[in-house]
Amino acid sequence: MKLTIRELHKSFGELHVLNGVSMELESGRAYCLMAPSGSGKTTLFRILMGLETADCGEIRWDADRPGGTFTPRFSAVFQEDRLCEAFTPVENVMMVTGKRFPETQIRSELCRLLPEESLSRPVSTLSGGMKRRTAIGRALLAPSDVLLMDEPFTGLDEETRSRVISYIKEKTAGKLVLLSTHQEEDVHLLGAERLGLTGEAQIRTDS
Amino acid sequence: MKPFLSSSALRRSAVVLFWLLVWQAAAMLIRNDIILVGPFDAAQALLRLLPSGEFWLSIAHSFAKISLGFLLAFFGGLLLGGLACRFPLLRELLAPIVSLLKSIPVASFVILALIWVGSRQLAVFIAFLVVLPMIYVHTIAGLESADPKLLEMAQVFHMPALKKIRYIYVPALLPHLLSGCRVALGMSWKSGVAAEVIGVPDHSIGERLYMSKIYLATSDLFAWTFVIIVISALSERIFLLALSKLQRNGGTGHETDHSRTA
Repeated sequence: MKLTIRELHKSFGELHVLNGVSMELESGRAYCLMAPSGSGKTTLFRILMGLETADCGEIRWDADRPGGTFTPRFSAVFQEDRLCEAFTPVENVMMVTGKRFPETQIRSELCRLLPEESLSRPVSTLSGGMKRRTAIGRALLAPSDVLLMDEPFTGLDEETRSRVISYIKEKTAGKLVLLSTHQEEDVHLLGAERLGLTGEAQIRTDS
Repeated sequence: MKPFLSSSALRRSAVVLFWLLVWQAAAMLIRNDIILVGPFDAAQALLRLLPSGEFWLSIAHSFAKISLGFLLAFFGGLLLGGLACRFPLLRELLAPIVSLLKSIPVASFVILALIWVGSRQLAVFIAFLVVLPMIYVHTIAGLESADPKLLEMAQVFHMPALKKIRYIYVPALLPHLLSGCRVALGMSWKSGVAAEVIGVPDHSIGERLYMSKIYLATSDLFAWTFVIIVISALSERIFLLALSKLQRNGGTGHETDHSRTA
């Protein structure tokens, strides 16, 4: 599967957020979007997920088999956690995975990210870092072709972050992963390709 | 914390006692048990009523009718509010009816209801009409308070409609519904009994109040008023407790199951 973005423009009123963004991404690889805050990373993610429409430009998803464009299934870690606070981490994952996994499997998967005792508490009682990991777990376990993660490691300490990153690598084999981060180190840990942002608010591949 | 709490409880009882004394003093000053009876006489009247079968029958009848009207309006308002949120056209269509229902005086409804349904089902009808717009309005407010960020999340993850309702809409709805019910339950009792006083259906609290008026039995009036307050408060407690149970179940209902499987 290949994603081609050509000359994507988006502005909110006077503010030009995306100014002719072009890039080509392939599934089975991870890409790190490294750009300062306010440079349109979140907007790009929202357009890809269909939550926002671009003013002009082209987004094309090509299937591996020749002749097929298609709409992939998305999974996301949003900039905010966007969890259902009154429910437990297990319930938060189950509400997006449906009957794909039995509850015991979800529990054991989440145990890789979170302490066992936290899995049965309402999310509202968890710490910021635990909520972040719940959101990451939800995104990884939901069925998807494309995984978009908007600064997924906010609020995670050094050790947790590398644990989470290796879990992400394990769970996203074959998928297209696009994530934004401020840490150079994450790019190496993920074995990802670094995407930059030029002065003219343009996002380009940098490989 | 504890001594502070008990001292505030003590103070509250002292305040109640103070007003009871003022009431008793006023009654003793006026010395006319048609205009005002004291708390002592009212309590005596209540004790006199307690053993009679008619007392319990009237309570049972009024309770059944007002509760039925309330419950019908509760589920009707929930359904209509949900539909109105889903279909904006229906909401626009209902808007004038709802504001009409809210502004028509209960007394006019009572007369109309007497003509339409007669006095037997009067309290059901009135409680229904009073409660319906309240629940409707609170349902819409609750559903609209659902977090748009969570709804976007649900859209991205292709969450099925039933799960969206259970995990996003119901938690947003419940606090609004609880505060709506708190007001609506009290109103259903006040308006239901008022309707009964006008319609005077057999074996009803309203009929008893009407009789106290005819016989100028002020002590009975006070006793019945006390009974209405108690029943209304009790049914409010029970209903709200059931609703808030739902809220907690929504949050951690599976918690115990989970820890068992763990």
